[in-house]
Amino acid sequence: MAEQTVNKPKLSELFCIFAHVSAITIGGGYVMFPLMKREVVDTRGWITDEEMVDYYALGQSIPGIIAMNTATLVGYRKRGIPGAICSAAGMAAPSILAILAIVLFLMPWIDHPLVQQAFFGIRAAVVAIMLMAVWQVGSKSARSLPKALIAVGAFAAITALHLHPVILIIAGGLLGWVLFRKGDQR
Amino acid sequence: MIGLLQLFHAFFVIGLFSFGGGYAVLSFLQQEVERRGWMTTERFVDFVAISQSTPGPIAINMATFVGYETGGIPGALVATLAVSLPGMILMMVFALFLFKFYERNGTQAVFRGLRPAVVGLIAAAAWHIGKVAIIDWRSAVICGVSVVLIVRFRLHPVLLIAGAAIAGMLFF
Repeated sequence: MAEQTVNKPKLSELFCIFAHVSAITIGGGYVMFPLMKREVVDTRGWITDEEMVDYYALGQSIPGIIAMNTATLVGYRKRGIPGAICSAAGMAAPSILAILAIVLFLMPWIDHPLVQQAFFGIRAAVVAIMLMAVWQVGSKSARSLPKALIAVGAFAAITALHLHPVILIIAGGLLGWVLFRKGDQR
Repeated sequence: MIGLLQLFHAFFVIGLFSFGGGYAVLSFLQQEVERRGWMTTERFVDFVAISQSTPGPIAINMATFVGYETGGIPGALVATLAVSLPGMILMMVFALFLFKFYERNGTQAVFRGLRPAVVGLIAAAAWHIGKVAIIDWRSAVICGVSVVLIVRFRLHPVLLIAGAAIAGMLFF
C-alpha cells in the first residue's frame, strides 16, 4: 500500500499520467476508476486508497464529468490550480484527438450503405447499453419507494410533458431535502 | 454555423446540471440537440456509439463530436472546455472547503433526492434513442441479445458494439 507521500509531481507528469489513463479507458467512468487508481495510488503513491475513493465519490456527486472532476481534484491536491488544470487537460486530450480523427476519416464514409447497415445494428446495441446504465444507477440510487417514484416521475415529466432536465434535477434535490433530511440513510 | 458563444453557453449549462456522469450528460445533450435542431436523432445515436468505443470519458467525446458538427474544430474545443469547466470549478471550491458541506445531512439528503431523478433522465434518453433505433424485429433482437450479453457474460461495450456492427451488416 502506498502510504502518505510528499512527492510533488511535475505538471507535465500530471498531464501525461492522466492522458495515459484516458487513452486506455474505453467505455467511460466505470472502467476508468480501477485504471486511474492503479496509476495514481498503486504505482505512484500520489494519494492514498481512501482519498481515491472519496475523490471519486465527490466526482460523482458534483455536476459534470466524473473522470474530469476526479482528475481535477487529484491535480489540485498535488499542485494547486495549475495541477488541476494540467490533469484535466491531460484527461481531455486523447478524447479530442481520437474524435477529431474519426470525424475527419470516418465521416466521409458515413453515408455508404455498408456503414449505414452497421449503424442499424450498433444503434440497437446502444439502447441495450443505456438500459443497463439505468439499471446499474437505479439499483443503487432508487432503492426505496419514494426514490423509485422520483425516478418514474422524472421519466414521465421528460417523455410526456417535455420538461427541461434542469427543472427535474432541481425538483429532485428539493424533494430529497424535504423527504430525507430527517435521516433516511438508504 | 452556430455562434461559439451560444455553444459555450449550452455546454456550460449541460456541465453545470449533469449529476451522475456520462450517461446523465448524454440525456441532457440529447434534449438540447433535439430542442435546438443541431442534428437528427439517428446521427446523435451514431455519435453515442462511437463515443462508447473510443478512448476517454464518453461525455468529453460527445461534446467534441457535437461541437465539431456545429462549429468545426473551434466548436469542438469550445464545447469540451465548456462542459468540463463547471465541475472543475466546483471541485476546486470543494477542495478549499475541505469537504465540510459534503458530510452534512442536508447536503446528503439533496443528493439522495436528485440521484433518482437522474435515473429517470437516463431512462428518458434510452426511451428517445430506442424510438429511432428499434425499428423492426431485427433491431429488437439485436437489442435483446445485447442485454443478455451484458448481463450474463459482462461483455465489454467495445466488443458489443463491434459485434452489433457486424450483425447489422449481415441482417439489414
